[in-house]
Amino acid sequence: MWKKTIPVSIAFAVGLFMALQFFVPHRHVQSVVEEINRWTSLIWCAALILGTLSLAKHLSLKIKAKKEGWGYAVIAMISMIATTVIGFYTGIEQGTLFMRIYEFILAPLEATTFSLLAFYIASAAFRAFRARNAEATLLLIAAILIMIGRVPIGHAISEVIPQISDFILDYPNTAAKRGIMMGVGLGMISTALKIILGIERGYLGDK
Amino acid sequence: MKKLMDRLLKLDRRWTFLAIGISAVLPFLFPIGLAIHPSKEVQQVFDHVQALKGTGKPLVISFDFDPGTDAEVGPMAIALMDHAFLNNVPVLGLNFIYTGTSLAEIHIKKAAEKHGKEYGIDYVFLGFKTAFPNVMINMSKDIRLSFNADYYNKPIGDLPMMRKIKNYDDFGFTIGLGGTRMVEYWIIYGVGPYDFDYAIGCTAVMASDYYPYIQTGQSKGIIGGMKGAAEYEQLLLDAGLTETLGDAAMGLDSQSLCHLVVIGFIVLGNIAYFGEQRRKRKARQ
Repeated sequence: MWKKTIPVSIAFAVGLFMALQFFVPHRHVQSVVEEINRWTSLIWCAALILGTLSLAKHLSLKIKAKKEGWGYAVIAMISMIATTVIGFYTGIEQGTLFMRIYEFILAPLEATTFSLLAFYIASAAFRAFRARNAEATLLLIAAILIMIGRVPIGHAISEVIPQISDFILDYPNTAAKRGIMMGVGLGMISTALKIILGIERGYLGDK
Repeated sequence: MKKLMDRLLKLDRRWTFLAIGISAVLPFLFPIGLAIHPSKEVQQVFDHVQALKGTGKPLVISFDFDPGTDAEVGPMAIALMDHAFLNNVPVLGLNFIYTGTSLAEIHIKKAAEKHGKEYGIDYVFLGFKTAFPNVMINMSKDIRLSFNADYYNKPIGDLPMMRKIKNYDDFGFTIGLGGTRMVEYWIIYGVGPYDFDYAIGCTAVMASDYYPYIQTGQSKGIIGGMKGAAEYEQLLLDAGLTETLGDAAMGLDSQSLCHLVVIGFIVLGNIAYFGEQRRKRKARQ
């Protein structure tokens, strides 16, 4: 009962309440919503701590077992602990050591990793973007028109290219995306209903 | 010919890396100066920010990007803040991506210093808050439900600018700048239920995902990638608010050339592919 019935009942009651409160603007109902929102914020914060501890555990196990790439785990562990301690000790305002670590280590590292994408995209496009069949050819033509129409050189070549690019984005793209969004929305509603009704119990640790 | 096709098919990928590297760097050394034509989506965002002039209402910027996407989204933030500060529109900044909080502070401080703006009067940075759906819902009632203090731990009540801001009704125009889906969550949890003026600023690769929101009116426009940022800079220049273009316009020549090189590689790859298919067919016959 403590492991199944009570948690599922709480999920049912709170889930139903949160869905219905959208249609009940009464101040008593809204004050309960405010309180629940406060609780949720606390749960999110607790999840951050849990995530950090989980990462630390994962890294320490990797180091202990000397699994492949354990050296990186050591660097990650040291970086995580050092940044946290420095952040608490010096503060996080500009000019502090924490901010220098952010500006001169984390920011260039992240920017470099992201910018490498351009190189890999070019290489992958050369090797894999083939007009193998009608659908692939259509995708290829659309991609080329968008790529060239979305940069100034498209305008420089012809005024028509950006117009075609805009048309593709405004109509076929929007129509397809809208369909996907509706599908995702319906999927989310069905998952929420499954949780509220106790059919989906993954959050209880069920497989 | 056969040899050439074989060579193309087996081309070492380091050549593609070199070509992209050169095409990315070269335009910075020798600018091409291609003309920038602002799109209607960026023009719409510009018009909404321009309309804030004299209203006293703030431009709210959600800085939801980190250093990885700063090259694309950062120039948007700078251009938007330039626009607001030049029109004496207050700026309210916040952030839901913790790897971007410090970056947001850097951008806000730089822009404010450039225009001689005073903290607490002309701009405020609320900093990072977790549980973004709750924050967005809370802001429909009272921003203080989520933010008691700003990024520097100063109570919100002590900041003169914040005395006039309670909830979404007091926001002039909100813009979510991001390299993640956070820009969309603003629509799901904010604009959808509470209906306020909002626009998206995101990386180029994400922009196509959000076009449906322009048609529904939930996003008043889109600033997409470096091109969108450069278009915004061009609009500021055209309006006589600035005298030069910014960082985004500088990078646009490089982006144009890179796109051309990628297209060139796609075409070459397909020529080699079809050549090989033709040879295989002939061999079978």
